Amino acid sequence: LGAGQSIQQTYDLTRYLEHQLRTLAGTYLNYLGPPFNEPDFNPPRMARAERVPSATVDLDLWRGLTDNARLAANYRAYSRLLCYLRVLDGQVGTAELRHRLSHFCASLQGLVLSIGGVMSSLGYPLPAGPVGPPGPPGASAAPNDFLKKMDDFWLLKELQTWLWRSAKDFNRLKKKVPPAVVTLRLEARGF
Amino acid sequence: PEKPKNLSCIVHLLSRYTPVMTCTWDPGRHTFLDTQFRLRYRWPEELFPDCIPKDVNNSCTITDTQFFVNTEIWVEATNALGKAESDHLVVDPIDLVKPVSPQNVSVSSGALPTGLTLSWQNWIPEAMMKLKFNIRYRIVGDTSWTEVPSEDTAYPRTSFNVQGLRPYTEYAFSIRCMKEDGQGYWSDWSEEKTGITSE
Repeated sequence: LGAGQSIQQTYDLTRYLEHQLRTLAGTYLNYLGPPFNEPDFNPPRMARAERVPSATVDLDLWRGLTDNARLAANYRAYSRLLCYLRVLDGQVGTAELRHRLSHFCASLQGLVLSIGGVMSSLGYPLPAGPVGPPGPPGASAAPNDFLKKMDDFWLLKELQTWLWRSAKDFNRLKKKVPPAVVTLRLEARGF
Repeated sequence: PEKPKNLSCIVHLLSRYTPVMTCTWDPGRHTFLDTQFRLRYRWPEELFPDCIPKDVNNSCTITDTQFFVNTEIWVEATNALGKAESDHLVVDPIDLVKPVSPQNVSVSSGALPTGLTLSWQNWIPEAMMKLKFNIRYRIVGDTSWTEVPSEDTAYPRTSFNVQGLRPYTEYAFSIRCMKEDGQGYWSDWSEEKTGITSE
């Protein structure tokens, strides 16, 4: 795949994931029950939640990053978010929700792969070292059921924000990288 | 064993987030040897569990298909004399979809006696796939259909005004859809719905 096609495919996947998560998160929060499924539930972010890559960033700083640095940050974030989501997937009680979560996990894994493909097509190295969570996800398990549900709540909330911003990142990147056809024509004329 | 040929795949959506991909192939001549077939598929860094055909040797259905990631698909045949592989398909399954036909089709009369408005719902979310359409209509009782020029319905929409009809006449309509860029397969035609132009 050329860089342009690879970025377009990654953009389409991000939007598809964002769409899937919108209904999936609603279903999952209903599964957690009150207060987590109440529209105005907006708890403070607790220290525990710091393990999940925060999607809250200074937008000017974020936009000021190089394409390489921004892609690498996306790659690392989704790799870690995927690890946590797999823990969620393994614990859900209802078959329908488990099926949808595992389908979503596989899609998210596809996104990590796609971002890696974009980086390679642009000549950027993949982030070195482990990109999973610091310790095994269960290592710092929540001491009680409420905090466990809070962890799940923050995981889904951060993931939604990451996907929302990544779609914009890839849309912007898409416009910066000319489609393969244009590139070939330029090269043919000895540019 | 002979090399399996003519591998082709089609994706159906059992529910909005349950795409299943059915692949079929030509297993070749019967060799009178017990020959096992496996449908294999992978991403660059992930080999998925093989799809083992049940009771047949020329088809298998993958129950959890992922969109927007190029997937390499092939068939492997194995018997006592060795192994043979089909050509490998490398494709994004989103380009193999046969969509569900447009739903809840309805016909309403317009302001003009020579026009009717067709409305419907698209079952596939636009975040997954943008659609184009074919619309056909006939006078109830006739057998031949007239098709709206495809360029007029070549982009996402949920309604269309059909013009140039006869006043005070009952028409039957049917509609089908496909991925906007022409990849994949046309859906089946929707159920027919009728409407009468005003006097």
